[in-house]
Amino acid sequence: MSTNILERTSRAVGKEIILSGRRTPIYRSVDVLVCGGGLSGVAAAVSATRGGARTLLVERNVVLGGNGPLSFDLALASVDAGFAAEVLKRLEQSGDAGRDLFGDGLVHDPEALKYVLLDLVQGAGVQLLLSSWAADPIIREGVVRGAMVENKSGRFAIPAAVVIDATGDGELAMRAGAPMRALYEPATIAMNYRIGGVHFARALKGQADWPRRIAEAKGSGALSSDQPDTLALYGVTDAARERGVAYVRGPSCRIDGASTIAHLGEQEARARTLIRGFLPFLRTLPGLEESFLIDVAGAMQIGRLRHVVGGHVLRMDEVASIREQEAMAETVDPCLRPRGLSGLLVTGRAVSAEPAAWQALGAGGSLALGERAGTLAVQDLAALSAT
Amino acid sequence: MTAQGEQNWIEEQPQAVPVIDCADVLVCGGGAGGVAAAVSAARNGADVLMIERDTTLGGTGPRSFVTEYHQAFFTGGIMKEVIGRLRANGGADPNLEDGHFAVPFDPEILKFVLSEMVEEAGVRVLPQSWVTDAIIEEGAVRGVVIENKAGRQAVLADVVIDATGDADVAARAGAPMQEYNHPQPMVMLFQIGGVDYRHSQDRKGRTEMVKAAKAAGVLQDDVYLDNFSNFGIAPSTREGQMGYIYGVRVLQRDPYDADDLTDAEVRARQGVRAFMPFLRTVPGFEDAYLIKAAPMIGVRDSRRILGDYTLSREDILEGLFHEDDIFKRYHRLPDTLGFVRHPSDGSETSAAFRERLANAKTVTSVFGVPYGCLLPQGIENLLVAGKTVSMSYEAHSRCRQIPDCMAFGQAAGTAAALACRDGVMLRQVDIGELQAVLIAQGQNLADGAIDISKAKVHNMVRD
Repeated sequence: MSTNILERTSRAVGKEIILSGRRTPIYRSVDVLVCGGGLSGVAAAVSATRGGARTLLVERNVVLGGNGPLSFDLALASVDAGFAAEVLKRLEQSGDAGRDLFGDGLVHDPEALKYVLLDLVQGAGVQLLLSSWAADPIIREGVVRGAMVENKSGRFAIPAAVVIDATGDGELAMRAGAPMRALYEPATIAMNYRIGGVHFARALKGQADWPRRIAEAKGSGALSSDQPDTLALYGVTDAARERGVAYVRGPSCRIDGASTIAHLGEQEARARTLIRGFLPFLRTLPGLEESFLIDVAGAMQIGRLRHVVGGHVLRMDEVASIREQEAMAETVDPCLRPRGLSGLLVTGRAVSAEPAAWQALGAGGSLALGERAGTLAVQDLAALSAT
Repeated sequence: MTAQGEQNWIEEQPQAVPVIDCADVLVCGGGAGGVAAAVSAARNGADVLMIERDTTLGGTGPRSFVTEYHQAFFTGGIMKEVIGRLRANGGADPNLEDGHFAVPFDPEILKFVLSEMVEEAGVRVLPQSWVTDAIIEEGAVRGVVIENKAGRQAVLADVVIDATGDADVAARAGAPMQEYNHPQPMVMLFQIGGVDYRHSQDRKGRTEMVKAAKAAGVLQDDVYLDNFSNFGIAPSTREGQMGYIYGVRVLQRDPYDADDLTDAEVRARQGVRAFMPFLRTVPGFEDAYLIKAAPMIGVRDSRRILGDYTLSREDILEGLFHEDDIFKRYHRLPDTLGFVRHPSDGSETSAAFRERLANAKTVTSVFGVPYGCLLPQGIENLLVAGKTVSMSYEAHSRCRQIPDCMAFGQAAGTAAALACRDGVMLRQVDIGELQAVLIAQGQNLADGAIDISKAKVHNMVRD
């Protein structure tokens, strides 16, 4: 790619360069393009495909599931309807979801989730493009008409009648100029990890004493002062318990949305250093004497940094409407549509919802919203072909 | 991957993008080659930025579970330092004698080690960012276009090092490439727990079991090798009763075609799942459970640049040296014309292939890899490091592993730092000084630095 200006490099930061225009090859035209293969994106793609739309799901990673597999965010909602229930049922059937030994919620095995979602996607006939970055939306006369993707093959255009932004941060919506709301409260990002060799009976008995033990270790210098003050295990299904496997909520920090990317590298390095320093201490605790590191999560668990402003911003008192068809159309659908923009739906973490409402939607929120977005895309498609 | 049809393109208007950073040396890719390049460039005085698409460093080791370094003891420099740090941190056996063929390591501990080395050297890291294009001016690379959560942006640099594993930057810059028609099998290793090491190491009858399962249709022939092994067992891996299983592959997929990659990842993951019930019938693996399939499928070969020099079969088998060698390598493999250890048709475990290898003379040699292999023809300011440097098909198969990538990387980083310091083009770098710095920083480049009498042919690190 050639450009029009290039100054001596050190003076260029903060300025802009112009990338020249180009003819970008079309990869494939589809009815619905879903960008992002986390829970919400998968739900959207499956639901759109089942509704009869030719649907392509683009995911930058090579596995589906988003934060579960990538960041060990393992919470599941206890639901009995919709796509979320389908996912849950499949996980439960193989013994890969169940009550968390350390808490009341449902949790899942992240590896099993990847397979369950892949099966559902393939079963429905969703077209899949992995290891591909959904970049700029294609906009014609103010309407989103597809998106550009970047991958090992190069830069490609994917024209689509409806685009669903399930990137988690409203990346396409932001680039399309949708109004966004940055969250003033800095988000917490955490690096979780997985350990083996846990003796659960003794660990459970001793956990009340963990904060005191940590304080003591910090006092004596056995743990550095920047280590977390608390220790929490989680993610222990019956199968995990049998195998001695648990997840640890790792070191976290508060970060504001704007600086996330620039400081991610530092934060991750810092978190790894802290985890490494914490492991010997872990082995001094009852039940964890034989524990060992299986793996650190592939990425930090990043909270909600910003959300799109839609035709409506979901309020806390409207959260229940996600379970009722009629209320859904009235209350939820406008939240999936970015204000002032057509051709694009936004689902998942960046959906137009107040922070408290998003929190209250809980673990099932992404799946339910995604499923609805898929349905809505099919409706939009029908309306388009009618005109 | 392109669409068929009438108009198969879309007109894109010029786009203004912000320049978010600049550096003396920009390293694209944080795998083995990239880390070695970034650390070496920074240690030699350059301001270095490294861009990685994932969050973790190390590439193939931690991400594709290639948990063994082969013939690494003879590769000095950064490779030797990494092994030393792994040993000091419980990530590799501290008692393994020098000279062994394989050094197994713990990929989780490798991540700690590399992260520490990068931080100590003062390399800035931009994770979760994809390099999508090269910025070119008058035949010289001036930077790259990236994509991340903050959008499409530009990063500028005096020297760019392409350590993407697929020569992505070189390809976008229009660099000429070697012919590439026969992709070697991709492999999907997977991490398991619950291995009973008292019984798992008796490998007798295992090949027969795999073959019987294939004959019975339980295992698909093209998805599995005729055997499987528990790859690269580091002491910590064994203590945790974990293992990395090698046996699932995907044939005839092009690693820089997104459709092929998608298909390979999906097939390979399904292959892993289908393998687990079979694995639990093998002694020592009865209680094995899947922890995870590798985060990224293992790719043996990809695009390779056409460089100022192309390393050939003769260079390797005849043990040739060149005036601009940047590392020396010990080599011990069969002398078969067109040799590739892992042929694209997947026949590596077939009787015919084994017989061919058994009948071939094994050649032991020490050869030099010249600086010209890292320089793409016709392009300035760009170095390539990793398995994508300029080598013939057969030469690549003999010189493509992680230790090689680290050596390519170390040379690229050092050369880039020298070019920046002196304000000269990469092709004007003082080769004598480059070699002196590499030797001073541990590379086995001096005459007689590699003593092949110390080579131990095999050591049991798998079961």
